[in-house]
Amino acid sequence: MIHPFQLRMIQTELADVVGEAHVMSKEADRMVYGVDYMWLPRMWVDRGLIPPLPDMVVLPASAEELSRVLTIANTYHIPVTPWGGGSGSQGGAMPVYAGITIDLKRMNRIDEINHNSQTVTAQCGVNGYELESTLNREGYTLGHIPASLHSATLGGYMACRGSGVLSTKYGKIEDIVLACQVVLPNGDIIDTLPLPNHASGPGLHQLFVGAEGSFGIVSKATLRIEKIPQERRFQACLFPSLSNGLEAGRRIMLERLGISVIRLYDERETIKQVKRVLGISVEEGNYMVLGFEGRPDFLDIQEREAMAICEELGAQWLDPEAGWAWWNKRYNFYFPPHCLDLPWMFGTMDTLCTFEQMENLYWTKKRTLEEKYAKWDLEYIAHFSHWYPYGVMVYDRFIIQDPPADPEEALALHNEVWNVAVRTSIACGGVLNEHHGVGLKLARLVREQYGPAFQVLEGFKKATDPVNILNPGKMGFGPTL
Amino acid sequence: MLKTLQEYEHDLYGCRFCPMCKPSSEVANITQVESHTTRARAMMLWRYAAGVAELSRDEIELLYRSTLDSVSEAWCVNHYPVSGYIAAARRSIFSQGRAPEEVKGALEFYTSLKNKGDGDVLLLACEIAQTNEATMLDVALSILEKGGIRARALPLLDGSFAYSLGAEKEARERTSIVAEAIRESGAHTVYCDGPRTQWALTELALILGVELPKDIVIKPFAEVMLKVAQPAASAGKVFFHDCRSAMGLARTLPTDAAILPDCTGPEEVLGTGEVYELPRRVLDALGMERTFSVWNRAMAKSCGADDGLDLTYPELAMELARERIRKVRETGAQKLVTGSPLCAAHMRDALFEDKTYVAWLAELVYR
Repeated sequence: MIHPFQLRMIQTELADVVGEAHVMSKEADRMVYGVDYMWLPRMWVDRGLIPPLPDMVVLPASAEELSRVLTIANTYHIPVTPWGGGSGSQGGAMPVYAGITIDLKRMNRIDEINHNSQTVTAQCGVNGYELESTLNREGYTLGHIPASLHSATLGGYMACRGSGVLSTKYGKIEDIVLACQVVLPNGDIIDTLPLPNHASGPGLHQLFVGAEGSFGIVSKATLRIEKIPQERRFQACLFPSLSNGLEAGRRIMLERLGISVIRLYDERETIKQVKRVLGISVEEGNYMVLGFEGRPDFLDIQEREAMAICEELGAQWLDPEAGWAWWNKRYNFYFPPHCLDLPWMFGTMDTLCTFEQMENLYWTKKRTLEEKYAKWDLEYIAHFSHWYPYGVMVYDRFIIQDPPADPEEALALHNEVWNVAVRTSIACGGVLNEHHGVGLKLARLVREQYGPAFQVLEGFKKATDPVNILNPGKMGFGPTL
Repeated sequence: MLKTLQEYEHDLYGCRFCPMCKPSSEVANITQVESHTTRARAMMLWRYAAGVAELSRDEIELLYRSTLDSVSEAWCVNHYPVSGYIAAARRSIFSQGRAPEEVKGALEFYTSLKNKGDGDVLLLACEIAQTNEATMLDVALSILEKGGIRARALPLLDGSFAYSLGAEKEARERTSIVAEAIRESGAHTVYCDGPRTQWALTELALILGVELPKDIVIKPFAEVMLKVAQPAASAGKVFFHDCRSAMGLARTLPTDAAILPDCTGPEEVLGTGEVYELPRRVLDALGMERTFSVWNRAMAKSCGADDGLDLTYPELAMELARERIRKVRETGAQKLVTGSPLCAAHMRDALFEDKTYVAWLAELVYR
């Protein structure tokens, strides 16, 4: 533990790098950095408690300033937690060992939009909405449009291997990133190779994408961009069973039709969310939205073939307006009062597996959680929103409407549910998480997920961050030494 | 009529962890500091309203280093009452005598302008009063004269910035002074020099329970501008900046289409109402083509001269002005025009060079 006097000395050193206005130690300024979008710190505040807070917050404006800040932290063995938009749901930005929270939002420049190669280079702190709006004005889209667009930063997208609503067509963020600049804990600023598809050794940039700031802090990245589609279309339907819906999605993907959106809701979520938010009255069935975007002649083929597959499996078509309603109101789900919120306990337990395993995974997880937590009236709802050439992810959630009032009991129950959920996913062929990341919430399960392969991550961590200053307590790693 | 902060507890409960209005955060988007976001303030105020914690001196300063953040209210698809709860929090703090010294200083602001002109019609020049720019009064009176109206200008400070700073009693007193001045004048028609004046006279007076003289007709000054506007000699692309106070007079607030990153209009998705349409018709009459930004109408970002910020934290208010001008330039506009004389004066002050970039709409009509 660092004595407050020494902290004050270090604060002087940091102010020398970034300017006094960009080093904050007052509790009024630090409080919000203890709460991202994870349920636990929110519950903690709701119960009148104070979550883990950093000792100070520092806002560098460039990779050079970031480098000097990390050098100082490394010298004094101060834990460092990177912060982008604070919209992560896994507690990845919680400063559980105090120290310095580095707020990266001053590093928000869009350096270049390259029209010849259709790429964009931007600093990691650029806000998702600002980046997408800027690209739109130039006739492009990042193709990565997550629900957290308005609050997340580019660095945050990359830290957690995020996914957007159009990932089925354009890929997840790790598919879109071409190269990145990273600041290592020892202050070195490194660049990965300028392009990802090479035979020059392993893909170095992929060691940092998804590492949640554990190996280095991404300061800048180059990503591919897409032209704004000439046309966008939607269709919406109801399937008589989830099985039919999943099979329709599988066949569409295996035909490699290249459609942009497949969103399939289980019956519970169809009735609960779709009706409530979109105002579409549905009493039974499994709602699916299909999205197509690109050239009209390509869309004709995609639409025809995809709809034929769906019809073979008993799809009942709704007015395409239903699909447009989802698209146009896709962010509305995340504003109060529609978003899931306290006093309920809830979590999104997304995972991914192959097509052949998904139905079993879904029903096993649903049955396991609903039976085991029947006394808490645990509700399980799900939709399937990111599809891959080989499989599909399930965006499943648990909801407990009346969790324990006592914060310790609530924390214990929350963690227990997560243990069961994630272990069930893994046992059924899934992974720890599909696009929200590991953070604090799942850190204890990383070693279990990787088994002996974890030593590879551990070795890389020891090499890049021997003192373990970067985001300690996350990704299965321990505290700062 | 004025709610306590506790009465907003349910709204604060919804806002306290929600990160969705980050793009609309005026101060946070300049400083990039998380504690300056709506979410941070909502969390802080929820803890206070729910009795979890008292507000520290630093937190009170955070509360005041901002406008009332009504732009976040407009942005939110469910229009949570952000400005309402910030105003309520300030009233609570002010009534306890805990408002920062800067607030107390702001309330001592006075205008050096004197009544001018003579006539049966009043020009209520509360915004101009806050600028202390006598030439603006002259411009306004000339336009009224061109429109066949003999008017007397009353440059009085209204209760709006006192209200915004949480000084409820002072706000009521100032509004009463304005009401009394109108009554004493015997005028039946009152033109308001800008949207804030109009809001203060129509909406704020009601909120504060101040009775206006019966049968007075309150009109926007832009109505007269429309009557006399002639096509300008050198028309160019302009950006029309809507004053934040105009949102209080809007007929509808932004639709949820406004938050989509590819929103390019139509403008009406950003809010509708005469307060927005009328000055635009004046620009049309002047033959000026307008550029578009999603940050306009009810979603206009503050120029800095809103909610008393220019009087409490003028450096911050100037930064907001510079940021606003910078964003307007990005739209390709050759000029920034506003229907608010206070916005125009403030933003001109923020420019180091080429102060002609910013104009009050009346100045274009006058030329």
